[in-house]
Amino acid sequence: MRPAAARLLLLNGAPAYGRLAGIVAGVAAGTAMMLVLLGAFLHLPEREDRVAWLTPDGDYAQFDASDQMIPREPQSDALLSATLVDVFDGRTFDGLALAVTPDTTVTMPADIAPPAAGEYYASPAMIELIDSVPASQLGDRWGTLLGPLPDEMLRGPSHRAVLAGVDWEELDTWSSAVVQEEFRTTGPNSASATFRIVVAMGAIALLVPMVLLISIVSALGAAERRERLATVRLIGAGRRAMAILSGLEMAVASLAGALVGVGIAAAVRPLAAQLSINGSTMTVADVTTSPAWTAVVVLGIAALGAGTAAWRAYRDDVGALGATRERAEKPVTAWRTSTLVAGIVIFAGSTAAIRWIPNSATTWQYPLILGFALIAFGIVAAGPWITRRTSLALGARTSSAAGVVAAGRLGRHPRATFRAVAGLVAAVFIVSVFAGGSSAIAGESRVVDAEGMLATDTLVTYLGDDDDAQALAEAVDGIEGVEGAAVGWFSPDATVSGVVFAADDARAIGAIDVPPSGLVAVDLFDMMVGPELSGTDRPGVAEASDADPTALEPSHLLVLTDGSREAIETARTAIVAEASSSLAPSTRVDMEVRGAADVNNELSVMAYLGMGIAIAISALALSVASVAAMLERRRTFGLLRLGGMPVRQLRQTIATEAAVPLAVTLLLSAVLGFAVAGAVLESLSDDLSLQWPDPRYWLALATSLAVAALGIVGTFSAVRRSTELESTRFE
Amino acid sequence: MADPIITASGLTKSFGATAALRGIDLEVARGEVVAVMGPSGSGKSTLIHCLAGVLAPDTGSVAVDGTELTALSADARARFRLERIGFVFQFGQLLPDLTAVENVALPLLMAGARRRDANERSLQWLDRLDLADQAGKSPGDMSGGQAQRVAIARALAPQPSVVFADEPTGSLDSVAAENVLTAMLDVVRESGTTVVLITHDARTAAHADREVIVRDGLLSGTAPVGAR
Repeated sequence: MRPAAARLLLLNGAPAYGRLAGIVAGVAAGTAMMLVLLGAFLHLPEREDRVAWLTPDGDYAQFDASDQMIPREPQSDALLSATLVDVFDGRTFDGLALAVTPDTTVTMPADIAPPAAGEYYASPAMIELIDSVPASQLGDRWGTLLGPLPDEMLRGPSHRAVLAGVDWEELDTWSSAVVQEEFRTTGPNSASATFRIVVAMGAIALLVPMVLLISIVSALGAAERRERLATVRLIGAGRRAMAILSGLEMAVASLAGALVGVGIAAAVRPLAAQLSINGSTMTVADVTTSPAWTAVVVLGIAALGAGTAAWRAYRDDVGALGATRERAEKPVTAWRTSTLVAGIVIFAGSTAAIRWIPNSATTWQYPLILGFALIAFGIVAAGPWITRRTSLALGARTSSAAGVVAAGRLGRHPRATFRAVAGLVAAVFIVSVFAGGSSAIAGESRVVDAEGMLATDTLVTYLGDDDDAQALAEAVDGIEGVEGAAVGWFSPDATVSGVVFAADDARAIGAIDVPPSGLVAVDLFDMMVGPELSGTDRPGVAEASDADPTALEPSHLLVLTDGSREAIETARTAIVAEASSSLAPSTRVDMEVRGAADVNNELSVMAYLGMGIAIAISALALSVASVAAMLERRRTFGLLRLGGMPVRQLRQTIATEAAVPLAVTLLLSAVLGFAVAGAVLESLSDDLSLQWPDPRYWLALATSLAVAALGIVGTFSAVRRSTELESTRFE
Repeated sequence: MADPIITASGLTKSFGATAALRGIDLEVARGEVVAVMGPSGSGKSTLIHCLAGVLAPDTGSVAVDGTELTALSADARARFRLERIGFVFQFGQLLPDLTAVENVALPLLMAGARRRDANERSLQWLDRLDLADQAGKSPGDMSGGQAQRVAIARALAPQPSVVFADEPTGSLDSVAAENVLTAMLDVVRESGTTVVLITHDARTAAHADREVIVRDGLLSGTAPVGAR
């Protein structure tokens, strides 16, 4: 390339610096987010490996011919373990009950000393929680605190976890206890697979507006510098040389943006690490990429920028004699929807496989990501075809000059006009996916008190074989706020269906239609899950006068409380300390907390944060594209103004050209986004289903539209300025 | 002059230190075709921009069809141009994304005409300029001469009082230029429309009723065509 040509093209004064500053800002924001997401993507499995010890991995107890558990003798080269399912004041935490012999040879995680029966370790976050309330409400559940769990055993700083020592003989009676010879060292891939999918989706979602921004800014540069580009051609630069020059310019800008992004990533990592993933915030290391990966991202983005700009320059060849001859784009055909269709097929197939083939999430996560990416890109690819179809309808119906001009532009340049809004369309698709996903938790957590239902402040304990129901009832008796206790029984010979209570107790726990006295069988499940799942708003209660009281065995202890945290947690702690079960007593609310988990909320927080970045980049792209579209027709618009066209109509034209493709594809994006969310939810869990999105979604949608409007309005001053009569020559 | 449609007196206009017009008086009669000639930089374009209300002169007055343009605001002048004045330029005036009929209909739609009426009138004008078979084509699919005739149809479709044509055949070969000019003048003479035509080309000027010479921002001569 001749230096004179390079000078002419690159040293283009204030507009060039403004344009390049836009690229640097957009690429920097996108790069920073991508680096953080990549760090999270790479470290998520490692993070799950750190907490692999929480997952029991061994053999369950055997049963003899009379259906009695065969005791497992203590042995020094093995351990007994069971997951603790517990909650405090609506906050879940992880826990493992552990039994080893004093002479155990089993290696403990992080080489900590094994806790003896009645001793426990807790994570720093858990210790903080324990210390914040009276021991009778939490700390007394496991005995004496030995010390904090080391970081190598935790997901992150806010991870709440407990490792509790239990007597071997006692733990052996827990049906959930397993014998294992060593702790797991690798977490189940499925635990991090969902989050890795989400993180990868986020990275893809950021890539789309970033590529579009680079492409659109390249177009703006070409529009602004048409005469200079022609001069460069005139002094001997070939089409290829022009492409290389444009690519070089964009490579420098992208590289600068990416390097700034590395700095921003370093600055925001401590903040990003505060995001909760899978129940805990992260360490800074969990969102940090290695120097090699950082280099790959930086160079990749620079190469992407260079390639995009070079391709644009090569394609928009500027001739040596000035303005390029107006070219219509190649006709867009329905084939442009093929990527979208392929994405939908692959995505649907993958979700179906995950749903119906057990333990296949790890295998199918990659096709799932591919399908998602194809849908995201497919919407962008199909956008011009949809835009073209819409323009035909608009052109046939409009009666305004702005409508006619806009329809003409949309019809002949569907790719260029859609490109201006593609970033926002992709962003709306992504936010719809996560809004759909997060809607599930909103729909799940509606626990209400109603006639016939178990009160939301009643604790339900499932009794083990060795539990003494009467002793447990006495343990909670006298706790302030505890209003009573009721023991439920079951019939081993199945002569009575349901849980048997004394009639007074049945009434006390909220059952309706209870006979005046005697024993009654209550459908406790229906009373707990509510009419949506049980199918009835009057849970069944039947007389059980035929039941033989001596044949019944205690199965449930229900503790009625006043609903205060003190009463519920003190009673729960008393029972956990005494009962032989891995399942702590819980209210209906606690069950919902455990069932829904915080996963969706965590994902949605991540999604909305990512969306903020994507929307900002997209708004920049939309604004730039609108200015570029106007500059390309500056002369023609100037002539129209000279002929008397009001600026208002020019603005309407610019607005219509942006609004039409946005409006038609936005709807498609939202619908597809929710469909994708629904499919993911269906594949991940039986319990989660799509619900009406929460207000944050509507806020994000409104923000997208407002940002689009601002992007368009932002070009209005340029419309007037660029078509000023005094600044346009009309010869 | 018996029935002047344009009356300009004492027009001056400067751009920075450069005086483009230095005191021009000019009258153009209704239905007259006037050719404005002069070397590059003499002030021809500035003159017609002032006459058309595109530029406001620094001093002097311009009245077109009884309306004093210098008394109007910029928006009012734009409205006036839309309703009463047509323009034809050398190149680049048609919207490439629109068909010929849409390009012609555009000023009618801008003025508030209904789409169907605008299309009908546009087709009539295209027909008058022998472009009926080009109505559905885009400018990029036409020859230069055809595109210029579409531009002429667009200028005439709103039935303006005056048409300003700035080198309307400057980008065409001599045969096409002759055809376009003939077509335009036939139509304007038939409709009685006044034309102010800027040209460097004596052959083009020969089609006018009168020539006006501009030199260094001043009128250096005016005479009926053929009188020199």
